[in-house]
Amino acid sequence: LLDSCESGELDRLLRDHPKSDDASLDFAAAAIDLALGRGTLEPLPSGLRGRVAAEARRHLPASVASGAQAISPRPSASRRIRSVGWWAAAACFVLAVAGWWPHRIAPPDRLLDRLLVDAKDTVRAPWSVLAEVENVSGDVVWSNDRQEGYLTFEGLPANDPTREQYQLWILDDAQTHPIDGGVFDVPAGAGGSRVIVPIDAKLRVARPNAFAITVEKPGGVVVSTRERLILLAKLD
Amino acid sequence: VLSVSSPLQRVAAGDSDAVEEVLDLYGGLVWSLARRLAGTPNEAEDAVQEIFIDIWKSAARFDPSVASEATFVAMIARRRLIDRRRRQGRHPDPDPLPERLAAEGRTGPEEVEIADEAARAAEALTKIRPEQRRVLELAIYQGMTHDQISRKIGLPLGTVKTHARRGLIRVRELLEAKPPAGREGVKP
Repeated sequence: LLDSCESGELDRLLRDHPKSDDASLDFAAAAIDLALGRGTLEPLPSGLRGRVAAEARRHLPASVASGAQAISPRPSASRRIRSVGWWAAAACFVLAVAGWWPHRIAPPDRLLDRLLVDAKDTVRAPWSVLAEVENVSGDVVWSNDRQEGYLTFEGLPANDPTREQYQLWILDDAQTHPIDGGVFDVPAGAGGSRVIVPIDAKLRVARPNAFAITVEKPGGVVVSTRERLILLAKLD
Repeated sequence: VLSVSSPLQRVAAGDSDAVEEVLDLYGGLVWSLARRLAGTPNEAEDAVQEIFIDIWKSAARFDPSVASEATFVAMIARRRLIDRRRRQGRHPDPDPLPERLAAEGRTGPEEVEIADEAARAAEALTKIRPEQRRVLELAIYQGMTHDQISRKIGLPLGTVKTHARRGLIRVRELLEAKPPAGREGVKP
């Protein structure tokens, strides 16, 4: 709720700027976003690009049909060339799916092994116990190039996911605040044994310097109270 | 026959070759926005596909006299991403962990070519009040809600809303002070 002073300020702004709700503010916000995001752009992954390009061809005719301007298309390629294009797009899609599918269904230990073999930039840091848990070991493996990483724990107690979950935070020199690395569970049967957890970073990780584990309510939190910061892995 | 030159205008004309050009120019921009605001990598991939469908469908509405292509693309992407987050009801931005864990000596990101509006927006951000700039950074770049910003920086919610609106209006005024330039690409 606004106090009287703030309400007056908002009323004045709305009165003085009748265009405040139109698209121009969205354009301004987009321009600010571009300005603040300078230097952080990363390439569109090739597999995703192939899917986007294949999908685009389904929507181009609709654009022409719904377009307000009577724009004649450029002299188009022959139907045969278009057909080849479709087959190429389909082939790209199949290859993209083939490349994606095994990756997503492989177990974490195989994915970790594959990352260690394939990625040339992996970094590794062991866990240090800060509080609450004892005799927990393991490490973090992370690849910036692939934006992929895994947490390995031995001795981390099982959690009851209806009451609490573990949450990963990634401290990145390129970010003002730690990156939410996702929540995870240690199943009852796996408590104390070796557990490998894929990292689910919510933002691109650019210059990581540490990884921290907290215990939070189910689903994780946006703002951590920091009361249950249990593990930390610092990169050299 | 209308003479068209911008990739988006050629997409609107049904030129499938322009699709690749748009992806070359703005694929990295859309992907980076999605990675920052969409949540998980899988959600980002879904979002990117939705965004580009929006872009293909909206290409005919692109008006170079209003904004550059990069800003037009970023606006469509942000609208779609904000809509997805509203539907999902989750905001990924975390509060800082203890300062002792935070790294020191941070440096700014590497400069790359950006659209004309972006350069002028960066300049405009230096001309608004620091508290307005801080609120806009948290709201626009980090995707925080006004309520989250209020809790984070300790200002009343109404003050945060006022800073956000006033700052955005001021930036818009500064952007409108100069006509937008022609198309400029954004490359990763």
